[in-house]
Amino acid sequence: MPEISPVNENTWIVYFGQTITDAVAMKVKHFNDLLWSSHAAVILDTVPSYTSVLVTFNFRLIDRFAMAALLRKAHQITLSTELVDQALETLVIEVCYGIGTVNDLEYVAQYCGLSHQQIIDRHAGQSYRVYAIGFSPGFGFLGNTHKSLFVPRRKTPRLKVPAGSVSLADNQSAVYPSESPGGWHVIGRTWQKMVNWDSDEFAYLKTGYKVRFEPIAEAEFLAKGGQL
Amino acid sequence: MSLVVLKTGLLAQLHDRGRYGYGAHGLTHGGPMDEVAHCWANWLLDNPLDSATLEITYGQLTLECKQRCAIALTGADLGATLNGRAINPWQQLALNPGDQLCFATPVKGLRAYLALTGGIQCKKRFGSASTVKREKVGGIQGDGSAIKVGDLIAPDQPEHLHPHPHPHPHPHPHPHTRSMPAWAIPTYSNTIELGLIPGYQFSAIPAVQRAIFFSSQYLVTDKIDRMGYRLKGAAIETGINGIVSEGIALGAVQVPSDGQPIVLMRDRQTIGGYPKIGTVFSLDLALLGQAKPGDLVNFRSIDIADAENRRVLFERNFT
Repeated sequence: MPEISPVNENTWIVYFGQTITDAVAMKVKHFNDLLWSSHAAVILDTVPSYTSVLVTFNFRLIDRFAMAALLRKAHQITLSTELVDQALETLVIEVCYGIGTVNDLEYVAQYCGLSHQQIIDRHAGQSYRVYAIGFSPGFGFLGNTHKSLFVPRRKTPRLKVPAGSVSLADNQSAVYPSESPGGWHVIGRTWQKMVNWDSDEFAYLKTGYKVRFEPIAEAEFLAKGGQL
Repeated sequence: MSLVVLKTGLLAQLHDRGRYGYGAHGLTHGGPMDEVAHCWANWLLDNPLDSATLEITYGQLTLECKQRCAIALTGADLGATLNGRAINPWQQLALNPGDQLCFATPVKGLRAYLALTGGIQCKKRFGSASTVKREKVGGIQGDGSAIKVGDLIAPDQPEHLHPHPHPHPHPHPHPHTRSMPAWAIPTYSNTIELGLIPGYQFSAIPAVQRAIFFSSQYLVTDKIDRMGYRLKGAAIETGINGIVSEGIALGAVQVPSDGQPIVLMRDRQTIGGYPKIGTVFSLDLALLGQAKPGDLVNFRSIDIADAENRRVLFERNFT
């Protein structure tokens, strides 16, 4: 597939590889940031994902050919930039594991053949990268989880997963920003808000950032405003 | 200059041209399912095209005029009546206090658009009036709710925010009445042809399967909403199990493992992992937005340059 492909009359998709790696994720973030810092005037929207960025442009201000040239140049800049894992502040999410009625910690423990504590230690014992935001507003796909925590999605999704649910599916982890249906296995709950509807900053997680989970006790979870 | 909602039907929502710039946060674009009808409704009243209009799905809505105002009605024929007298869409109407505007059920098309001189007042969220229920954004209160009984459809009055020496810039409905050029009024047929711009995983799908897609007629199922239209017909075997999740453009045609195409509409999810055969051209997508369960759809491959030409010509109508 060409690296820069047209999608419709005002959309292009730009690829940086076919496999999910940190190196590709860094290029995606660099390219997306570059578009907004240098060409915000002609760009309507972008959707950065694992290996690609979807770019919608304002065809009243720039034509398809000028846009292609601009994307090719930015793509080249990203490819030729030596990217180091930026010392972005690691976002911390405090989690009370194994609480609430929507709780699959025991199921995951059985499936993975681990104790509750081993799951907590492994889930909180590493940092993750936000590979993409999607599914619902502010829902971040965090990867990759420790191999021993791989667990397939639930066969039947739940109709209601509470906001703040910390969950696992395949090699990814995520926090549900708002109550929604969902098929991921819930292993804990955070009191922190993943979305702030009144701010233009909006989502706590951003593509390309790093995230770490910090275990907290139920008393602290409740004291900080966590609700069951 | 306002209308009050007396009765609501299936769904009526406010929409401008959509919410852009928040794709990286997972917010969808939203916007009118029939952008063509939305734009002409605003044009009839000399409003900016991005002004909020009321998208009335299926009908069964009743509005009463509180103060004299000018409205424009475009899109589907939902059997509308003004004080019991049948009225056609695609025109401007002057309403007087006490007038009742009722929408019955679809005669042709599925969604009607009602514009009000000056645009409809609402609390914009993330720069847009467009209502997305599941994201709880847009609409009159900005919380994603649809139009309810008792809601006031009032004109946007920016002078309230910025004191203006002339507090009533529009004391009367627009003085000169615009009327629709006859050639610009679309016909909503039960059989529609959609231009598809090949893209995404198109070239990875076997040629025989692509041929099946373009030569088959698909039925619009009853699983249609603002996120997507599920179609039913000859199955397309893409041979692709899944792809790395990527951004979904307006009109993208997703082909899941059962081979039945899903056309992704205004409220689509921002990213997805199913293979896509291409993208329905935006102006044709407006026609699909008027399609009902049981209607038939064909796809024709079109070049992106043709799509661009048609789009630029469309925009020129309003400049």
